[in-house]
Amino acid sequence: MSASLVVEDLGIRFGGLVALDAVSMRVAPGSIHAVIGPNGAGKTTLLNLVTGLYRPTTGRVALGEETITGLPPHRIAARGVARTFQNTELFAELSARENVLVGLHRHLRYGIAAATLRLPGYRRAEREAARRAERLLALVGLREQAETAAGDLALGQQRRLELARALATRPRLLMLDEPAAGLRASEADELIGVLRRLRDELGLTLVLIDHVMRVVMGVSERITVLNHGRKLAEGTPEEVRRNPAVVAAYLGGAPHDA
Amino acid sequence: MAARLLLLLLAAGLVAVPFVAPSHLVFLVATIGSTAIMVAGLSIVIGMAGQISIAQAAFAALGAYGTAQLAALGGVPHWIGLPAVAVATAGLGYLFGLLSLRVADHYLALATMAFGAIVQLLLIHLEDWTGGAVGLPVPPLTLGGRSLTRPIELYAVIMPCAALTVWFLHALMTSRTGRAFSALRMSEVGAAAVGVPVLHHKAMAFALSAFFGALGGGLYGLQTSYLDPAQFGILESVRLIAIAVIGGLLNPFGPVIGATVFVLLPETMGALGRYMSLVFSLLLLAFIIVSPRGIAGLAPRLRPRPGRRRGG
Repeated sequence: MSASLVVEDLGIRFGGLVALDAVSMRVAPGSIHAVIGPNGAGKTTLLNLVTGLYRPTTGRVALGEETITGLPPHRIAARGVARTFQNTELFAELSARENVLVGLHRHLRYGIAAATLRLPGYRRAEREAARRAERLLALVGLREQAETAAGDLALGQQRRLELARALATRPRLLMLDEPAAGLRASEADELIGVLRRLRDELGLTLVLIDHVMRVVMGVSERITVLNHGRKLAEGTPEEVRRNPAVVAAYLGGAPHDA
Repeated sequence: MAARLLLLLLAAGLVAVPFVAPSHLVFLVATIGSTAIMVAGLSIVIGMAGQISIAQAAFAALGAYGTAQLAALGGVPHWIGLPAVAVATAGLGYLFGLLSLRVADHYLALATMAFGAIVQLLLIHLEDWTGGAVGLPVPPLTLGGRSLTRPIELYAVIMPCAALTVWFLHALMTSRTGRAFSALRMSEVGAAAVGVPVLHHKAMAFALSAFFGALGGGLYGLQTSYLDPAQFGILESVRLIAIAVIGGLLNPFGPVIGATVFVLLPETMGALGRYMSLVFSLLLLAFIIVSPRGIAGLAPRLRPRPGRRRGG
């Protein structure tokens, strides 16, 4: 199920601004890999480049054996890359259940004609989708909120709903943009448990962007540190913690348990 | 259950209308039907997919003129010509929707308006094909060598089409395609991130709106039996949007409800009829402010959603 992610010399410039400059990294299949760095370091830019939201100016992105550089986002999603967003991109007026059903869009195989005539193929596919949506909502603890409009959910619930929607696409690689931002310590610990379960039980490769050191240090096997759009360091949490350049650029200036 | 009973009563009423009502009223109800079909296209492209289209009258014109001229010049019976023209117009709508790759939001709305203006200009200036500013007669619908021109006969053709259109809207809203439309209306980025091809779905929404525009326009042409480019201008497109909004954009019955108001109200106003535009403008304004979900949004939901507010 899981796939490796290879990023080589990836870069993008917006006008004169180099947002990301020749960044390379390798994420082993089935591993949990964090990307950290101060604000404006290019973490979200990296994620947007991998998922096709931006087209890179230089470099290459490969999922497993396949190069996916420059493909449109929906094609990259179709190859098994799912993501969440820093400020969530849910479908606010749709219910939680419907949000997950949109995540299942690609796995529902029937046409408009079959839906109009309510053919058996349509009924079967929708029944199966409803079951899977139910399971995914239960997995993230939103079974009770299935019919609530996504926009009416609390922030923490919205994050979990976005996770369920991402999982609905049956990804091989899941990229999470600041999943722990604003969580209390106990919620952060809970998140660590959830991320481990996703890797162990669903066999996902996870890439995680975050500021919250409790989560990053607690869960990731390798960490890439970005600063000013460049890769500053890479290694195990222990190596990164001891790297003087990292300490100077980032950890030194920020509290350890933000 | 109550909803099902209401539907049955509505259906029974519609079957009874031609037997009990004067033919003028039969004509009006059929006009509600053909108007609602045109408006249904807007429910899809504006209501579901969230793309403003000010081109619906142009698609209606293509349906009406195309069908009429296929019959007049090519001898193609309407039974074949009208569906064929509607499908061809849908293809054109799809291509137009692909434009949204380059222009979005307000600019796309302006582009649809320009498209509407171009179609109307072509209707006026391609005189050999369209009869120019004078317009042209629509050959009657025929069945077994008999012309179907009486209101009751056209009613029998139009109303089943309108009923099927309402059903289609309902089916679409509860299908993967309809959900994808809603998704891209609320977050294109989110939709693409879960694998929904956004451009294809926008183009599909335009294609469906063009299909229903052409179908409704063609049927309406059969009723008026004469086409005149003045009927298919930008103002008509705006009127159709007003009907869609006042009826309710996200309800399968919205187009029918809106069309009922717009067709019947002028009939009951008598001498005040000339202030109709004013009345409709005020209605539109009132609904946008008070009930953006239109008349359909005022009524309690047919199928309530339990617990919708529980998490809020």
